[in-house]
Amino acid sequence: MSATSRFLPRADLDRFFTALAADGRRVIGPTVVDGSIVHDELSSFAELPNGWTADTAPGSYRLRATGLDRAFDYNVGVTSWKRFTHPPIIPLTRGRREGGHVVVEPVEAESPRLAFVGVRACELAALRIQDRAMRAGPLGDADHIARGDAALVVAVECATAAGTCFCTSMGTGPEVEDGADIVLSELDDGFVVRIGTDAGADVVDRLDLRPAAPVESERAATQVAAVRAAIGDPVPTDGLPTRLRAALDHPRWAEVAERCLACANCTLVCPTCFCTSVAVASDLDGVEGTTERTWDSCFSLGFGRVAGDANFRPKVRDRYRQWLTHKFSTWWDQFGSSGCVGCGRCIAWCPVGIDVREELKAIAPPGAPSGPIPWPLSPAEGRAPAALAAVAPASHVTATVQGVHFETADTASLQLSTDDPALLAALPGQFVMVELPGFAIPPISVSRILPDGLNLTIRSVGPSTAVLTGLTNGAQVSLRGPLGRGWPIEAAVGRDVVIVAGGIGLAPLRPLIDAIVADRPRFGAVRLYLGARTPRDRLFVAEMNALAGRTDLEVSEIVDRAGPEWLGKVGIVTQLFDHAPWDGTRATAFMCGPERMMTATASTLEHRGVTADNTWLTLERNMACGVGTCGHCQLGPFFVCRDGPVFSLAELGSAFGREGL
Amino acid sequence: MRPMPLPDDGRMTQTLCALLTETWFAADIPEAICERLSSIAELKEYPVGAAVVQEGTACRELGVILSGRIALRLALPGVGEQTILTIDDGDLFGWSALLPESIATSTGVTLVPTTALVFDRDPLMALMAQDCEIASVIYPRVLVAVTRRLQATRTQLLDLYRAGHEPW
Amino acid sequence: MTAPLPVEHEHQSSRAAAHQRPRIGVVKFASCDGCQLTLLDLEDELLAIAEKVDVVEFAEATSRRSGGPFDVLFVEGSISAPEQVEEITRLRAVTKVLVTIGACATAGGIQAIRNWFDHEEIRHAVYPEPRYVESLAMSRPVADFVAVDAELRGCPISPAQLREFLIALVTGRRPQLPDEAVCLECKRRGVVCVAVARGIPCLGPVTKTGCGAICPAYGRGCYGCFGPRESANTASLAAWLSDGRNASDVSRLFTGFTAWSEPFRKIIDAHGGPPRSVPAPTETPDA
Repeated sequence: MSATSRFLPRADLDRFFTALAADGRRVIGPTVVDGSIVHDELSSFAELPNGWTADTAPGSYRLRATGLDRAFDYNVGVTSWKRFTHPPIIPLTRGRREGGHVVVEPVEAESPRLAFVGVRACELAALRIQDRAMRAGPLGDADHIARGDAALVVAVECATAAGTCFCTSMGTGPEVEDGADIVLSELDDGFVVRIGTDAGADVVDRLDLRPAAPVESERAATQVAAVRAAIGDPVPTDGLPTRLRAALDHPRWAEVAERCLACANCTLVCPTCFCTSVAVASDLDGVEGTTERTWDSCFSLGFGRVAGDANFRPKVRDRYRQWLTHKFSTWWDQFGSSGCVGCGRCIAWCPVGIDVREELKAIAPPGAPSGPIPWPLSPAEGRAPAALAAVAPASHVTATVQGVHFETADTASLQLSTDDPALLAALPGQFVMVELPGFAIPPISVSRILPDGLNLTIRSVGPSTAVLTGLTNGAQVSLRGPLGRGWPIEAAVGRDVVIVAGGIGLAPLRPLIDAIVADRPRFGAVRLYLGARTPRDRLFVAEMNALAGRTDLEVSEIVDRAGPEWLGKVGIVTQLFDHAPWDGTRATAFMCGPERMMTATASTLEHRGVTADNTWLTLERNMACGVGTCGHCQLGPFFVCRDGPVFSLAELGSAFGREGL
Repeated sequence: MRPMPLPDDGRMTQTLCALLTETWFAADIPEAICERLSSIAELKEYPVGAAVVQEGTACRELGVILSGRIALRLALPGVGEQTILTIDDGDLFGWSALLPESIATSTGVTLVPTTALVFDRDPLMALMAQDCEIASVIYPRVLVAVTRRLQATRTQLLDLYRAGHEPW
Repeated sequence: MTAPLPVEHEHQSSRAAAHQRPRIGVVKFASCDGCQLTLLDLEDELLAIAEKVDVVEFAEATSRRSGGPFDVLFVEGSISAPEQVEEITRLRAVTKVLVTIGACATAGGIQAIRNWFDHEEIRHAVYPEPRYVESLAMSRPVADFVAVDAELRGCPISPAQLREFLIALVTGRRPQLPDEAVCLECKRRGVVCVAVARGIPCLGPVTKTGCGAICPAYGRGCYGCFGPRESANTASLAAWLSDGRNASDVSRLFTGFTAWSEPFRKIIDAHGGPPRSVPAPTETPDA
C-alpha cells in the first residue's frame, strides 16, 4: 500500500466516477432501491445514497434520512458482492443429444469489467473467503475466478456501525487494511484516498489529487476507531470452532428450530455462502439441453436428498445446525478461516429475527467444550486448495456404449469406450458425473476400469437412471471425471483384506477386487462378504462364483430374504463374519452398502479387532458439481466428493452414521 | 428325526460335548459346564426338508446346530413363504421353548442334512433353575439368537417401506 | 406417487415420433378457469406441444370430447358439489397420471373459506333459490377424494412451471418443481424483502416457490397463493406477525386462496377462525 494518502474533495466525486468508468468499466455501487441500499450499476455518483443511513435490528432494516451531505454513512444492505462474483444464475453447459450422439460443452465464463465501489472491510474479507472456497475445483468457478479477477475494488471504510455489525469479533474490520485497489474514508468535505494496488494507482493518478493533510488522515483514523468502539466485541470467538463442534447435541438447536422458518434468507444474503444447484432445461424434443448454476441453500429440504427418497437432513434442526457449524466451525477445516465476516446481514434479514450472536452464546459459550470433540480442528491453512488433488479441467468427454448387461431386473452395467486419458487413468473408488442433455446428472461409481474404457453399474431408481439403463449399443453419454479419492489399496499390502459389500455397494468395490486379484501375492488372506436383498438382486453373479472357486480367496454370500429354492444363507451381512475365526488386527477392511448396513458392519468389524484407521468405506451424498463447490455433499468438515467418497472410519470419527449431519 | 440311543455310561456325554465345542456356540464355555449341558442333550439327525419347528405351534425343544443349515421362514403378505434367516453351525433354534407359552415364531426347515444337539424343554428348565452357571451360558446365547431374528425382521420391515422406482 | 410415465424413454427422436402420443385431458371443477388459461397462454409453444401430445379433452380450447382414458389428466378446480365427487372418481379410474393444477384443485381454493361457515347460511346468502343447487358442506382439494400423482401450485399456475412440466413429461425427466420458500426467488432476483425493509406482512417464507416472486417484486407481501411449502413453520411466522396485530388481523393474513391447506388452516383456527370484519385501511398490503 502506498504510504501517501490523497484527498478527493466532495465536489470532484464525478471526476472519480469518470476515471473509474474509463476503459469501458461498469461501475457497481450502492444505491437506494425499494427500501434498501443495494448494489447496482450506477450511471453516476449522483445515484449514491447521499444523506441516507440504515437502522438494523434482528428482522428489521429501515432506511432513515440523516440530512447530512454524506454518501456512505451506512453499512451493508440486502445484497452482497457475491451477486457479481458468484451470480444467482449463470449458464453452465450446452448439450445436444440426437440419434444417440451426445455432446456437452461448458459455456465460456464471462469476465465483465466492473468496478465495485463502496466495498466494506467485512465485504473485502468475504470476497477473499468466498474466492478461496471457489478456487477449489474447475466447474463453475472458472466463472467465479474470471469475474473476481476482472473487478476493480474501491473500498470504503465504515464511518458508522449498525446494530447488527460484529466485524470486530470476526477480525474482519472495521478498518480496511489490504485487499482493495483503492480505499476511501469519507470526511465531511471529501475523501481520504489510499492506494492499494497498481491498478488502483492507475485510476487515482488520472485525478491528480493533492496529498491528504495529516489532520485529514487522523480524522479518518479516529472515525473508524469510533466505529470499533461502538461495536465492541459481541461474539467471543476464541476457541469457538472447537466449542461449537463439541455441542452438536445441544438442546438449543431444537429450540432455534422452533423459530427458524428454513426460508434460506440468511444463506442468500450471506456474502460467503456459496452453495448452488444445477437446473436442467431442454427443448420439447429433448435434443438440446442446457444446465444453469443457481443459488441454493442447505436450508432447502431437497439439498440433502439422495436417490430413493432418503434425506440426510430432514429436520430443520439438522439444517440450522449444518449452517451454523459450517459457518463458524468446519469452514476452518475446509478453508483455513471462519466463514463469517460479522456483516450482520443474516440477523437483519431473517424474517423472524434470529440472531446468530445470541445463538452462538447459547450453544457455545466461552469456557471448556461442553461435549466430546467429534473431529479435531484441521491444520490452520485448511484443506483447500493445497490439499485438493489437481482436478482436470472441466472437460465433458463423450463416451460410447459398447455393451449393456443387466445384472438384475433394475441394475445394468454399461460398458463405455473412450480414449480420454484422464478417464482411463481412473482409480478404483473414483466416480464420474454422467450427463445426458435434458436430464439430471447423477454421480456414478466406476465399476470396472479397462484399457479402452470404463464400466458403470447403474441402478434404475428415477428418470435419469432409468434412461441410462435403457441405452443401447452405440448410444453416447457425456462424462466428467474421474473424481474423488479412491480406495487406498497400498494400505492393504502385506495385510489380510476383508471386503464387505451390500447390494449395489459391490459396484464401487469391484475395481478394488480386480486390482487385488491382479496382484494377489502382495496381500495376505483375502475374504469377500457379499450381501444382497434377494438372490435375484445379486450383482456380477458369474464373476463372484468364479472368484469363489479360487483357492486363494474366500467368498461368502448372504441375502436378506429368499424363496424356498435358495439353499444359501439368509440374514444380514454381518452374520457372515461376526463369529469368523480370523484375527481382525491384521486386516484392512473395505466396505460399501446402504448406510445402515455399513454402521452395523463397522461395529462388527470393530468387535473383531479391525481398527478404525484400517476400515475404509465409501459414502453417498447429493452431489451437483462433484468437485467441492456446490456444497451439497458436505458431511461435517468433509466434502464427500473431494475429500472422499472413500474415507477411513478414523478420519470420519463420529461424522459417520450420525443422524442429521 | 431319529434320536440316537443314549448309553448310560457317560461316554456319549463326552462325545456330545466334544461335538459342541467344535462350534462357536461353545467358545468361552468351560469344559465342565459343557459336560453338564451335554448330559441332558440328545443328538438328532434331520434329513433335508424336515420341519424342525413349526410357526404357531408348541415348541418343546431347544437345539444347537452341530452341522447343517436351517431356514427360518415366514409367510410374507403378497409374497408368500420367504426365508428371512438361515442358521448354521453353532446357532441356536427353538428358543421359544424357553418362553412361558412356548409357541414357535417361525417355521424352521432344514436345507441340507443337519445334525443338532437338542434339549427337551423341561429337563433344561429344571437344570437351569438349579444350576445358575448353565443358565448363565444359555441365556446370553439365546439373546444372540433372538437378536439375529429381530435384525432379520427389521430388515424385512425396512424393505417394505423402501421407495421403489419413482416416476419422478 | 406410483403411476408410471406414459411416454417411452427413447434416445432416438425419430423413433419417438412414431410412438403414440400421450392422450392429454384438461377438466375443470369449481374454479375460475385461470389455470387452464395458462395452458393456452403458452402461445409460442402451443403448436409444438400439440404435436407431441394428443389433447383429447379440453373444453376451453376444443370441442373435441373424450371420456377417457387419459395418459395425463390436468384437473383444475376444487370438489364442491356431489356430482363432482362422482366425476373425479370416474376420471381417476381412467387416468394414468392425474395432475391437479392451481389453488382450487390443490388446496380447495378461496372458496374454501366457506368451510368455516354454516353451509345452509352460505347457500341462502348466495342463491336466491338454494333448493335448485346441490353443494357439499365444504370445498375441498381433489386429493381429499382421489390419489393425485403430481401438483402444479399457484393461483393461477405459473407458465414457466407448466412449460417445465410438459417438457419433462414428453422427454421423460423429473420435472423441477422445487419445494422451497418464495424467499429464494426474491433473493435470486434481487427483490428487496418487503417484510424486513418495510414491515409489510409476507407469507413468502412459508409459501412454496414457483411464481417468480411476483408480488414482492411489486412491493406487495406474498399472500400464499402457491400454498405452504415443506417444513412451513407457520407458527413461528404467525408469532412474529402478531406483534402489533390482533388475532383477527393475523388470521386475515393466512385466509387467502390456500386457506384450507393444513398449515394455514391451523393458524386460522388458532386465531379465532377467518376474520369477520373489514380490515382497517393501514392493514391493506400495498406498498
